[in-house]
Amino acid sequence: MKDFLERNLPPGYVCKTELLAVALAFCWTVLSSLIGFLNGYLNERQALYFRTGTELILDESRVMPDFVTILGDKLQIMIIFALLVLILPTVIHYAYYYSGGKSIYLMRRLPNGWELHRRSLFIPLLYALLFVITAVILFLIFYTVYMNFTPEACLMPGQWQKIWSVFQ
Amino acid sequence: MIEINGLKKQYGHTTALKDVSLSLPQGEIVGLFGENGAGKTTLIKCILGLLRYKGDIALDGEAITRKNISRLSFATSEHSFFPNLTPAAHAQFYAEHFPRFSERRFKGLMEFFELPKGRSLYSWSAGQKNQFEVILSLSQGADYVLMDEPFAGNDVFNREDFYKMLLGILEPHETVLLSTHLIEEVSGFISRAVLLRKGEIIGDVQTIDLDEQGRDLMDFVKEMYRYRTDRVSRAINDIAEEEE
Repeated sequence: MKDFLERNLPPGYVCKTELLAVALAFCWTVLSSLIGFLNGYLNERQALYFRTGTELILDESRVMPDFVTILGDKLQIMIIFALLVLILPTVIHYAYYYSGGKSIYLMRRLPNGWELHRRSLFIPLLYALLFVITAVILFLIFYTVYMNFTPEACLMPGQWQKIWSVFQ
Repeated sequence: MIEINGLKKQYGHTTALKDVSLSLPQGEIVGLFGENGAGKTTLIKCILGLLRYKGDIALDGEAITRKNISRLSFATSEHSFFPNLTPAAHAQFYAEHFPRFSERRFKGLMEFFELPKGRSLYSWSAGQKNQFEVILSLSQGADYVLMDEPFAGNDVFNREDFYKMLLGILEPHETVLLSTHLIEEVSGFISRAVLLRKGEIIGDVQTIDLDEQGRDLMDFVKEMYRYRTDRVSRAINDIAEEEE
């Protein structure tokens, strides 16, 4: 791992703080998306039931809101942070070549013209990819939860198609 | 050979280089002289492609691109190394990117200057950093070594050692373009002097020609700059008269 980072970050760049910040941002966004969705979903699911004494009875006349409605903007934070972890570290990596000297002169005259950009952009792209892939995984988990834990009688058909209709 | 034709460079409305034409054949040690703001650094940065410019710069008849850029190296007082890396890590980086990097010359120069091998460069003195910058440029395996005020901050003994070492280690095909204010100090080591003033070349002379004419480099520079020898005494007199 250390070797991989050394080969793909600006030479001599100390990445401890950056990795910690990205890890914290990642945990926070995953947790807030997870809690946000589960909270919304469980509230809506609970509203399908009514209580008689100690017993919870499903009100089959009620309809569960669509998956896209419950999901709302819960995953938006992941996409916003995907952009942030792409842009901020990239700017810091490029700025690094101007700190404590002008190593930018060396980087700009390397025979491999991509080296400067590769070492500045590659790791931030991986960060962003991690956030985007996690957002997709969370989306699939949320969809699975919605489809498997929502009582069938209250479930509106065509949920998958409705997701795509959002993009049309 | 590096050939520069009609080189022009502007920073906004300020002209840094006006129609500069210059040839640098292989095997010369060329001193590039000029007052502050004359365009020395700009000229070197244009050759390296670090600045945009108008005009032509060719290396053996071809434009300087990624294909032939490794034939040029650069030592600058601004330091182009990575302060957090050790010398060994620099050597590894250079070896990866410059196929003609000379590990032998690198080690030899490191030992000669007695530089600390295991410590990152940020903890070094300014003089040591300058030496290391120069070592890297000389070890890269370049045919043309461009140096921009490489010894700002080094003591005179140190610089003297370096000039001697430079003369000793340079191969016949290696060219050094040395931009400096230390005209008298380098006069014995360079084979040619190029003088810049306000972005124009006002003098270009082989030091052997000066020797034959019985002139020294400093006199030549003063002549080209139309330096008035009585300038200081007249100013002192003027100030003294005003105070009286």
